Amino acid sequence: MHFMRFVAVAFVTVLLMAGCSEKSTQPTDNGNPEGSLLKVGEGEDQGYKVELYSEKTFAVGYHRIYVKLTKTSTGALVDRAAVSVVPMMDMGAMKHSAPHEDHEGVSAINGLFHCAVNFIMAGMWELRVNFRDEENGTEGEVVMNINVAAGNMLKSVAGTDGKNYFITLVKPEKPVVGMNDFEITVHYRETMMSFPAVEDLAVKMEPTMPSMGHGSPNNVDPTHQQNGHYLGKVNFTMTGDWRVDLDLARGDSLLHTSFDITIP
Amino acid sequence: MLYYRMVALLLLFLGNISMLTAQSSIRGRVMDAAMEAPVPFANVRMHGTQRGTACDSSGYFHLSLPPGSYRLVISALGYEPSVEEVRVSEKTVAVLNVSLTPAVIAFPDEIVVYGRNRGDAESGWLNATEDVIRNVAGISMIRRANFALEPTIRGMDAGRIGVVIDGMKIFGACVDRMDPVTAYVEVENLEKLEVSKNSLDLTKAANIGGTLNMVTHKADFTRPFLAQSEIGYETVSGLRRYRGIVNYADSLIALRATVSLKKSGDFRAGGGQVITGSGFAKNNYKMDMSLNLGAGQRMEFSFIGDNASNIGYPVLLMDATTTKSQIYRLEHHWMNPFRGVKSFRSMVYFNRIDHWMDDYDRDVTVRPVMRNMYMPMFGKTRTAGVNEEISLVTGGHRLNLILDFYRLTAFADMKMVSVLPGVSDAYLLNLGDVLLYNTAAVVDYSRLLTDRLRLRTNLRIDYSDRDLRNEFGRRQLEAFWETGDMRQTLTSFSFSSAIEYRIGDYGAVQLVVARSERIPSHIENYGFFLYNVTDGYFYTGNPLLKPETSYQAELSMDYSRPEHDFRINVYYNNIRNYISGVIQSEEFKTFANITSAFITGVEVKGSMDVARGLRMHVSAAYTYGQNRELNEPLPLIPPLEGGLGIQWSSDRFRFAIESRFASAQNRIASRTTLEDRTAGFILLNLRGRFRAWDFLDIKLGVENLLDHYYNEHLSVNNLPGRGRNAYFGLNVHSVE
Repeated sequence: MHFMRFVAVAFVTVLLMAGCSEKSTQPTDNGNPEGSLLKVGEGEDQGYKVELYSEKTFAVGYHRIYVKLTKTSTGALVDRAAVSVVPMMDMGAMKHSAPHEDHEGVSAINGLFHCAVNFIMAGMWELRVNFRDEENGTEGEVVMNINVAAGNMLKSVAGTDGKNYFITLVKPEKPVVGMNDFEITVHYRETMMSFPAVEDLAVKMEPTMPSMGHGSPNNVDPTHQQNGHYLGKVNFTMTGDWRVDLDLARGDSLLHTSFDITIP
Repeated sequence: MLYYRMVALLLLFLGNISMLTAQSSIRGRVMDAAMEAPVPFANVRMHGTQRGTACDSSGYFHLSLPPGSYRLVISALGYEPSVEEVRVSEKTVAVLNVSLTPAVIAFPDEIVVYGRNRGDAESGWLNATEDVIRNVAGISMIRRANFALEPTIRGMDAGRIGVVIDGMKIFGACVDRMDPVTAYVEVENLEKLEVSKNSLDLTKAANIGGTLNMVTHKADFTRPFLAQSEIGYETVSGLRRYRGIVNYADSLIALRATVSLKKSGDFRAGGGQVITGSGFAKNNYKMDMSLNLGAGQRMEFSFIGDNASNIGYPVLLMDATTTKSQIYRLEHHWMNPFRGVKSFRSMVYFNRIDHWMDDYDRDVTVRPVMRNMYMPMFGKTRTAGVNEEISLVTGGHRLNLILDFYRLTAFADMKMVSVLPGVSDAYLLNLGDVLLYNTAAVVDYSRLLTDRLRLRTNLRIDYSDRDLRNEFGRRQLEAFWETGDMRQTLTSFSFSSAIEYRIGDYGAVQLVVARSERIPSHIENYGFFLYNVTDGYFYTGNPLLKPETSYQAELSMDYSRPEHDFRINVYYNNIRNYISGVIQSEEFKTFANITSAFITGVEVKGSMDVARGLRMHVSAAYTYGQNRELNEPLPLIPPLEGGLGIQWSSDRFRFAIESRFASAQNRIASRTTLEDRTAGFILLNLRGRFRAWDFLDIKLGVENLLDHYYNEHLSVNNLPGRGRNAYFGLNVHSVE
């Protein structure tokens, strides 16, 4: 019957048009403690094996460093220890360190101790890893040499107070179009060996595309979290060359700097 | 427009009438085509004379006439007049049953462009579809270039009104709206415009501001062979055009093919100023095939292909380099398939629109916005739909049930390439793969309450499911809206009702009330980084928008006789959750629902015979729109505008003097956007058409005779209107 045929044709057409949609699957992670981290060095002291991992190859800027501690005799993971990583650069006439963060507390996080180093210049650095096993009080130290490449994630700026500040862009590591977490660290140089975190700044952030003279809305100015880390949000509306201007103030304006970020 | 109808009727009257004397007559009945009910007191007149009769209250008439061939005009208030040929032999009674199509309550502003009943009088009278659309009081055109004007109905445009071609939904691919749907129907393919300026008619699209259905010419079974070929030239822009039409039909199949080619240079504004970079080239093809399947069934296929290139947009940042559109439609009609079912119609359609634009021909190093950047943009839409309509009629009742489904995918992107060294290319998505499904059910019910009282009620429910599928596009928008999910489902509910009361033989009063909703457009939901040239902001879509809701009422009065007619409409439209741009930051606006806005206005239209063959017509429309939240005028509201004209027609000759006027618009939006004031103007046009031989028509005219420099309020960035334009056309056609 004609009528039914047309109803059927219309129905099938609707089905065909409704049926074409795509599905995607999510890859799953495996449970390896160091996972896909990059091994950057290892050493032994006092019957302990120290392995160092990083998320990426070293360049000037902020790096999380993951320390894995095992007993050489048994191969067992040590999961209660105090761990610190101290960077040192020997420039012949003088030595200096760089801002760094020790593992907080003594409990490993999934078998790893989380430290961080903010490399303030390129070149050959010495990393001193100190540990103290909380079970038996054994202390040890392993020294490794690593090479740090040049980079543009860190700005060294003189503040209006005459001090030298280091502002390091931590996030976004892989900037994308859309909203990105924005994280910086701020330290200043007290001595050649001491770089305390600056925790009391008001930060104003403004992303722009210099080539177009426009910015983006909905950005969130970074605010202090802890240890000199400031967290905000930055909105990159398109790919291309962006500049993020930062005004840091303690009451009066303290310093201004900017980061150039290219969104691929 | 009624005016044209009347002129066409007059034309048909001329060159009559042989009268002999003997005992013979015509009798018959006049029925309402929609209702299968009689039309009482219809007039039956011999063409060109005052001789005739009127039907009785049951629609019957009887007319004594000498033997001969007659042309009878059957007219009744509220119906399209019908012209019938009838032959009366000696001492016999010819039977003539006539169905009249209700006009007023259906489409009071229907304009027949190439109508069957008009002969060829209208064909080729106007040069462009835009000129036809503009003739409706209350419709104004947004002008972005000397190309593809976009209609607004009573100050409402885009998603608020439904603009469809033969009922098909088509969505422009250009996010800057350079490609309005009306561009795809060339004037020779436009059979008629069905205009509903309020939400009474919900059968074509969910709307809060009316619908415009461009009914195209299909293959014509009554024309075994027809061919037309026309060349034309316009001085204002050096436009050269060609159009050709071929129609072939036998009893089983009818074919029609048309081609339209246009190439235009830069146009001149009034006073002689050349608007550089305003030319274009456009080709349009339409093919139609109708198959007579017998038993009241007909299958129609049609295709429209439209390609344009190098379209200059001198007041915008970019020019359209290429546009490609393909529109396919397959439709099946079945008259009287079952008892009580008057017709069953199924339509399946698909269209694809691609639009490229760039600014490679501009000096980007000197402009204030986006300096030193080229910005090529691309946009595409694909729309597929199914439309089913069943019409049930019993004496005095008509019930149409419609299922309206479509699926839209839309994509648009933009690249920014610096002319300076060392600057990376930038890229963004203006529409990140929108996928939208819309399903609607419509009930359209009419009934005759009494001889004089007619009711029509529409009910429409739309359900829309939409999502942004591109990950990149989603990330762009998620930075603006803290919704983890871009997918939205929306429902809208619309209801309208009209009651028409006929007064005396020639008058009618109509009251329309409606509560209608329209779901936000995909661009209002998901558009990104849309540069608005009027206010200089980048607009961002808002996936969380609510539908706009309109409460409207319209009162109209009609007085219509063949020798003169008059119509007045007064309306008020209150819109809640009005969607408007709201400032988000220094350079960015987002679409947001604001509490309320209203549009009100009045339209008048009339025409009258001033002498034999000479008819005068007048129309005027005033629109007033106000944004209640910001207490400022709504943007893009036309000022008081209208026309006055006089037209003289004879068998072979037709001549018109028209004036079109608009007052100044000083009510402008300054907060939602940045409009400026527009001065008023009066234009004078002369048009003529002369049938030199049976196969040759000559068309001549001058538009903007006084070469007045002006711009319309709806001209984007004050693009001036065209200066004095003399046009010429030569139409060679087959002789019937």
